[in-house]
Amino acid sequence: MIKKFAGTAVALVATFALTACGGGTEAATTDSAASTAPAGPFEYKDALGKEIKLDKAPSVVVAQSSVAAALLDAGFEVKGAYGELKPDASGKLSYQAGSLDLSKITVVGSTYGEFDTEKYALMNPELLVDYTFDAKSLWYVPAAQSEKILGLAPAAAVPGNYETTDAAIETFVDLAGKLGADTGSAALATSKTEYTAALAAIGEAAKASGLKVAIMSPSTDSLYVADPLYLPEGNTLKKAGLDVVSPENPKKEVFAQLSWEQATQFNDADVILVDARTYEAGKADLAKVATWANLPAVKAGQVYNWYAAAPYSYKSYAQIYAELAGQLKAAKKL
Amino acid sequence: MRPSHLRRLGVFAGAVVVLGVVVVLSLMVGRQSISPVDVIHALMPSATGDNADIVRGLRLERTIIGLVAGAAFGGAGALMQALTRNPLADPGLLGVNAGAAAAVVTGFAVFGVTNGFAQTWLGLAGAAIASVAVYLLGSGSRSAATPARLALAGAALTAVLFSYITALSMRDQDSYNEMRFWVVGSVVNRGMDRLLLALPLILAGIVIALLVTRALNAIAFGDDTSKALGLGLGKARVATAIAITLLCGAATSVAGPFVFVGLAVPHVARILVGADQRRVVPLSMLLAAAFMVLCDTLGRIVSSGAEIEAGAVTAILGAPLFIALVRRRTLTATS
Repeated sequence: MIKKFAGTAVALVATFALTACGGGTEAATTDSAASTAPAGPFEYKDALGKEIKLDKAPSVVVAQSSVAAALLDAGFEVKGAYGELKPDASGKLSYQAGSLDLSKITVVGSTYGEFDTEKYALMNPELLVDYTFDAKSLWYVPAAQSEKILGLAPAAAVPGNYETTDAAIETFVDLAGKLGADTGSAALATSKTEYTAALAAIGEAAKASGLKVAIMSPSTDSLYVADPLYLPEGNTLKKAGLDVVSPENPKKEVFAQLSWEQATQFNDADVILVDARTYEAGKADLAKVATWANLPAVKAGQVYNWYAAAPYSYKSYAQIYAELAGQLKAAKKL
Repeated sequence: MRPSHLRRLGVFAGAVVVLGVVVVLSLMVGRQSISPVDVIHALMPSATGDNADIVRGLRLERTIIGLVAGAAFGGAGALMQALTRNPLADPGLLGVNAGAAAAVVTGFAVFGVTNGFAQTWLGLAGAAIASVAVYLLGSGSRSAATPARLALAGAALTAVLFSYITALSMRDQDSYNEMRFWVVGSVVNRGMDRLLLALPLILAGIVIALLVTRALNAIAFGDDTSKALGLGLGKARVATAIAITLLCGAATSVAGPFVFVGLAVPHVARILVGADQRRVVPLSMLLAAAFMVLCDTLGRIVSSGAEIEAGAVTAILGAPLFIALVRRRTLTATS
């Protein structure tokens, strides 16, 4: 994922520059009665610096899966989605899809690089929402198709990076509200309370044990270590009181790519959080890497999931932080 | 002993020394600086701790895998250049690497095969099928396979297979992670278990390779001349193709696809010992093993950021080396 994004982001830049002006600002004409949308106009200043103005709030919204899931938890249902939407062998979607229900939405792409432009056009889309990580291009919109896709409906880019998960979640609550969701709902308030409580529990566990935590995305070729200062959940966990370590000689980026020889730097980590997108699949191969297998945290079995790219919602992060709080409570200082 | 014999003996002895030096360097050099004395301590079987994990767990393992895979690719490249009488032949030429990769990728993506044993044999089967397909495509209806037609058929099939691999690898995140391995070759953490599965096949390939070298010298004369001389070359061709398949299929299943090792190293070998395949093939193996380990070692230290995969280094070093060789000698120099 990490490399994949870096590689394609550059390619996306050029195409987007050509289409941003044409697709962004014109009002979409729609004859379908918007049931959930508020009567007023929809105005949104997106992460690409683009002002999106529509006469009324769009009802046919198509979004990248993590974005769609975050909006759903904030009270707004998209009509279509693309992104990581391929069910696994048991029929379950990845955690990155949150509470999305495939029977209720049109899927126009189910993995990176996949986007069915025709299916999308037939939906008469009024708004597309996706992340941008480079302030230039949309994350899961394939570069080769982006001109066509962005010509069909205006696109709103939400930032890919935030200082904290609080800020990230509020961005989606705000957008959902503008799209017509009831952001004062009891469900949302409950999720927010649970979220705050889970973070407090993490703070207590951290205070009681003084655990040192590292966040990693290990592959057999290289060890990627996340710098918490450039990761929303990293900053949030640090603010909650957890000691999350940065890699040596940090690069001011999310990931530092280290040689496996350098894994010994993390001998003092009591807990390692690993990228849940890839860890299970590579677990058996990693066990054969001596400098991984002999890390004290790995030996002690104190390796837990880091739910990278989870939907930014109070509901999903309440679950993630509650799970982590439980694990930290049970973990031992090594 | 004639002076030329002595010279050739000297070349082989020199190659062995170079190989030894490169291996020592590979054990000494890495991202974590460890003093030579500590490296020697860490090599003791009883040693434990960080240094032992790094030296024995990481460096020794990647050195051994580099040696074996390098020897296999170098030998296969020399065989392939002799067989096709094509100085531009490369383990990629007959579609061998692409065939191996495509078979393993299909096994993983369609049937969920992740078992190393099954993957090794899938790789071999894929390499064999691709070789046969290229040979049939290159033979055409009227004439026997010529070097040029084989090269074209191989290039076409390789392009098709790599597109297929890319398409499959984009299916989902798991596939992508698994299949990155088939895009750039690397010797890091490939697993000794995987190597042990491939080793008997590679050894068999090396034995066959050394046995066919005499017949390859005859192939160098060309089909018509060989026929006129009364030499039956059909069996030797098949044996050579089997050796290439064994060497490339098995080595690719361990380290992934490598370019330029099989292409450039045999040229160096020919410059050093002449055109006799009985010397070119074994010397190519020795030199390629050293080249591979050297490339992997360089990949650890050339950048201040991440390590660079051995497969990328062989391409970066191999390409200019190859261009220099091509400019220095005419392209008919294989015979």
